Amino acid sequence: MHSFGYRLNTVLTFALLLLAVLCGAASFLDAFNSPLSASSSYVQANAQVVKVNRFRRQLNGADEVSLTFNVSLDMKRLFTWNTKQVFVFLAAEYETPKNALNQISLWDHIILDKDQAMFQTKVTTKYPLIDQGSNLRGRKVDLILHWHVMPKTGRMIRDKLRLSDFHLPEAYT
Amino acid sequence: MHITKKHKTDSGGSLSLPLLFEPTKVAAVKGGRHGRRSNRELGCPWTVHLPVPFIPVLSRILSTSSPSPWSSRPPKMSAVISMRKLASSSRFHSAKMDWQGQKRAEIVMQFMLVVFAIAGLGIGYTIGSFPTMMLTYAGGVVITALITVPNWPFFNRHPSKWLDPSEAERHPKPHLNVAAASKKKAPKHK
Repeated sequence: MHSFGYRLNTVLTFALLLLAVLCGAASFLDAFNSPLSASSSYVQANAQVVKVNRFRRQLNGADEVSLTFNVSLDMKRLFTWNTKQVFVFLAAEYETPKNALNQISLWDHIILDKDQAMFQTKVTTKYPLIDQGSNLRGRKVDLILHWHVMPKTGRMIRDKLRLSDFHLPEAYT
Repeated sequence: MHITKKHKTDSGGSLSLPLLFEPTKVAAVKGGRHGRRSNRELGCPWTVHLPVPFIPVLSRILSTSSPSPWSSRPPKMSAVISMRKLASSSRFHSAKMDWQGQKRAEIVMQFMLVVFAIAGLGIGYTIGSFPTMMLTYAGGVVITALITVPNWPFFNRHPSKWLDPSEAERHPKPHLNVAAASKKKAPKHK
């Protein structure tokens, strides 16, 4: 500690070390208060398909569906002091003879603030439901809401909740 | 990063030389924490450390007869310590912190940083505002740096009394005693 530069280096290095400890402590306390296992009980949501806008077969042989649905979300309890944003997306899951599980994201949204975390909208699919093949006629499709809670420091929490299901029509529209 | 050279002194206890270096280029004595620890553990009169980074500071240490630099008694030097830095050297002795001040500065720095970190965490957690925690801690770091880094006078209350250069000139540097090594060989030749 014999010179100005040496003391400055020591101060800055120790401050950086304590900053890392501080971020770890913030992340730990945050996870301690809202445990990971109960994350899905903090969210209430509902999604209903209003109508099927388009159901056709593309030129390359794949089915394509475009929907309109009502979605209502309440994710206020997911927000803590250490939450930067919540990324939420609605996925359609179904089973085909070729694949045991198909998951396709239909719509996503970024929630930046606790005030924006409760809303209801009527929205069309941002990304069309395109199948690998032509298996969607009359298929039962589950709608599952996924969310990623992104903290300011620490680990990202991922969880999901099954909402409802619907059947696609038997014929192309 | 620190190279420690330990030397046993003669019975007079007043002369040691680092043998591996040229007489004109020797590492600097640093009154840091490592120096204190080594002295206590090994009981040597003094230890030589290469400070990190080594390059800007070259010094010549001729002798010292004191125990560790942390002792409250100022070290008695029988020769001058001359430092040659890239910047000018004449100011080096005058305005810096003394050993006690350095120790105090280190303790104050660690204590204040930990206190501000805990305070920031507590305030941020209770208010529920992450930026508040960060700003509190950043303010604490700045305050700590302002208090501990510059050479304030209250860190220089026990300055070390170095010997006057003119006094050192009157006592030329003695040579190493190599007669002990040759004495051991003499009886064998009988």
